[in-house]
Amino acid sequence: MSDVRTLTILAIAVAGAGLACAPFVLNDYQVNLVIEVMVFGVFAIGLNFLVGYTGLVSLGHAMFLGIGGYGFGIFTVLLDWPWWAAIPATIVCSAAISFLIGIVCIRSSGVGFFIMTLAFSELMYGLAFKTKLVGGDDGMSGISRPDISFLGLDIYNPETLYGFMFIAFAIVLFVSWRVIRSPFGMVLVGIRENEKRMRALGYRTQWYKLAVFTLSGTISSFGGVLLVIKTGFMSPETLSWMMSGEGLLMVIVGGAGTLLGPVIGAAAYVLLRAGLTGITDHWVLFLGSFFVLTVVFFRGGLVGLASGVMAWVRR
Amino acid sequence: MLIQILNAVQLSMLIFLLAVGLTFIFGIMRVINLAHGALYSLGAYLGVVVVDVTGSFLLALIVAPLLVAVVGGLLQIFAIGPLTARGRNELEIALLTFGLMYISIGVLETLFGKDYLSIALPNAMAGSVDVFGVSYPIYRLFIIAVGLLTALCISLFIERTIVGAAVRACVDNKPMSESLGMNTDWVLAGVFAVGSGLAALGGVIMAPVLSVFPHMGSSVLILSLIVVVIGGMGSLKGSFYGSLIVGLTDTLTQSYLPQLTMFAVYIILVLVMLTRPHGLFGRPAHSL
Amino acid sequence: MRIVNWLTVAKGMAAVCGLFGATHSLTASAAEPIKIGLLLPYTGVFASISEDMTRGFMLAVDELGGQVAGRPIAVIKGDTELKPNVALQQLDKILGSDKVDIVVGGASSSEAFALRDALVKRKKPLVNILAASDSLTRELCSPYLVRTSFSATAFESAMGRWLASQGVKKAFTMAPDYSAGHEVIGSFQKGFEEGGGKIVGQAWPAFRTTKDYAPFFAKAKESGADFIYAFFGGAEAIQVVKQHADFGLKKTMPLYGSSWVYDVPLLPAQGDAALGAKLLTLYLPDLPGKVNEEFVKRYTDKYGVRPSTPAVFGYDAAKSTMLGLQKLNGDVSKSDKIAPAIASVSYESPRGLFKIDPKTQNVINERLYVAEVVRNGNALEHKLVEAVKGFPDSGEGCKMN
Repeated sequence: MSDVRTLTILAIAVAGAGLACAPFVLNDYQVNLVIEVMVFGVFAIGLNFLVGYTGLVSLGHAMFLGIGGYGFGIFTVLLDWPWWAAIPATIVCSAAISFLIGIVCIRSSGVGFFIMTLAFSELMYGLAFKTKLVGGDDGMSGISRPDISFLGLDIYNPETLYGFMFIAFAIVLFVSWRVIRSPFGMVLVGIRENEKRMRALGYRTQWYKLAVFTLSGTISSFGGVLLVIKTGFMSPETLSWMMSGEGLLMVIVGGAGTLLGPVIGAAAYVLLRAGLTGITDHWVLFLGSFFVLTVVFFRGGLVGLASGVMAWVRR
Repeated sequence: MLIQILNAVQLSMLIFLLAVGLTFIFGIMRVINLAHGALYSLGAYLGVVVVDVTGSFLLALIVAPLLVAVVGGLLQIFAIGPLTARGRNELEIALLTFGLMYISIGVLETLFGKDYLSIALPNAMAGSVDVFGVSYPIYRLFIIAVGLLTALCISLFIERTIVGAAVRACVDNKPMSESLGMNTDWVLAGVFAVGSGLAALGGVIMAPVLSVFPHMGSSVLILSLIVVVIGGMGSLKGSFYGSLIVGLTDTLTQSYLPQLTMFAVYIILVLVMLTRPHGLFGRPAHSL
Repeated sequence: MRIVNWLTVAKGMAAVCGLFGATHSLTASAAEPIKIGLLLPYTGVFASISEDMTRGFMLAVDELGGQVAGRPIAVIKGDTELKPNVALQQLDKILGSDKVDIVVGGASSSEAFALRDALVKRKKPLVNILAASDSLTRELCSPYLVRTSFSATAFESAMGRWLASQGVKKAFTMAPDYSAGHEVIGSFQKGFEEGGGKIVGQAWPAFRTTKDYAPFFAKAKESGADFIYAFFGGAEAIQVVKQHADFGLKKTMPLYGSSWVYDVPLLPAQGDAALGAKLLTLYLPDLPGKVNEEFVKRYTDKYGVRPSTPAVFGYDAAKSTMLGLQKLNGDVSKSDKIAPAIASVSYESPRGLFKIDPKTQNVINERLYVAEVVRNGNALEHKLVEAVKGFPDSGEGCKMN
């Protein structure tokens, strides 16, 4: 265990330092890519609470990207709220929606849970597609970024946006770390390992599952808020089941059940995809091969690989 | 109304061809094979190739499913089987198949280009006949017939043969079957092969009606996943009636309640799961 | 009729085995190139249309010598996957990393909306290569946006007028249930009703999820219409046309549409089901005139197939852009001048006179063509029936700046 812990601390230190000076050494496009890694990182961290820590696999998590993104759009564009009110409001609403969906979904587990979450995300997709108020299938455009000119900063400047995203990302990471280390986090792992035993120990596991579903949905929705802040645009495609599947890939490739795994997975996903579309028309083929190889050869994803290497070096 | 019901049954039979393989794979291994849609696409493409080379649709109906069955069997023997044996969990296997789906799309796109392909309707089955007073295309009746025949054959096979009994035993309790000396690996490879072959059969049989392109499998995959869950995992009866439910819902809402099309199937799914968490014909899984 | 293109298969084999892909920076260059970003959905259901547009695009770039005022043209491709969010990611890349001067793209309306918003905000020009939504050159018009393809109302209403003039008065319409579908059918309806026709029934199958169109044909049969007017593209168009023929409706209730439904690349897959169908198109390979003959020859020599309508859209997008840049003498430093310069261009295009309405920066197609699907040897192709007059779009609600 201590290997992983040293590794985590080391990785956080290196990544933190790297991320802090990133905007000064990278060009605009690369800065944008790092922002994207952070956005999908938040999405994947949320998903990881269900998949990695509790063992509940969701194939509908993209719906939360949509709930967060459309939520922020509805508050700022349709209701004309300022961003500092819209963000908390979106978070509260996403939490409420996650809770309600969770009540239904956690009744099943395994494949049932997998399909139930898929059903809800397809329902959300249909809703976004059909609702003219949020642009229907054309998508919702014209969503502005938070106006932080009172600080003398222009958020449309890539470095400023980077700073904003970095802070948001750091907050999510910190909150997740606290939750994982809390007794609550331990119970989640217990449920993943053996739910019956946890119940025998007197834990009311259904409540824990509902709580983690809500937490997971809320964090991933926050990822949706960040996504829409970055792009200014939301479309039903964001809620498709393929997006949910790609979220799962991020978690698994990075390393499920670890704090940084999803972030590393998101980085692999974003960078690999950006790199591949740049060099070949057949990027789908290569992306697929990469994921298959990771699953086949690297147990525990890239984080698992790294701690394996660490252990080997130590010996 | 009658014509819409025929349409619904025809769609149901297509979904059934995919769902039946999925449900047994599910039932035995608890593995969600997301590459099942890819096997369907592969079947359709092979069908196009066979028709192009030989000009015979009948041959395509036989050859393509057989080839894909081999692919499916190999997939289980060389990829999924060994990985499960090394203790990879269901999620990792599901993701493996998700990656395989990507690869298959990429390969098909590279091999055949991005154009849409198709098979011309065989001459013998062009035209329509009267069914209870409405004129209906012969080929669609043929699809219905193939679906029903498949269902019948499989149910006879599962209920009446020794191999079928082995499959049933595996669905019920795989560890127990193993400890009784059964070679479950072979049963699994067989189930995989037959399931893949049926998915491919679905692909070939739909090629004259639909169009053939690399992404064709993904929406059909979702429908068949829903069927499997509604019907209950590992249940043949479930996948048959589940297909009928999904096909009827889809077709009838499209014609009579178009504003509900994108929602109806999912609403039914949620309702079934709330009232019968193991599906209409499923039973709780045996656990150790 | 060959369905599989074995050449593609062989090339594909080579690509898979060798594990190399076509590298995609299409034009290499030495000194200070003008960079054009081409953002199209190369994967997904619009893939083959995008391929054709790119071919036409590159043909025009080559035709003009690959340079403008001594500056070479570099084309940088990006795959949008037909997802607006991916289009925006690719936009970040080509603006931030490749530093393109002009963006060409917008295959679907939702992509076009997303790109338009982002580019207007960043004050960079967008050449809309395909998306036909009227609003892009009405309320959403902008000095940074120019459309070189066509727009929905101006195009589809012409088919409505023409059909009404042919003595068929009762129409059943069918289109996917999404905004472009409603817009196109609305445009057709406008022209058809002006000509004295009447819509007797409508069907709106769910977009991209419908596989079986049988229920809708059953509904059309009940309506007693003279014909069905449909708007579908790609895989859906193939399915609709084949299933229409399966249900024996070809004789009693023909299926008309625009070139989307009977696009040339779709004809081999549609087969005999498409034979005899009438359609409205902006281009056919055997239009008379020297310009088109030369275009068809060069295209066929280079790519081994005859050009499709999207190929001409690609061609016109590139040619008008480059001629516009010529007017600026290759100076792309003033980004607000680029789209207006493109809008001031006029030349003889393979599809007829190419010109743009400067008020809305929307293309004006003065000639449209009604064609019929005929068999020529082994292949199916479009044959000109009649040229009809087109009108510029009203552009209502457009305020530049």
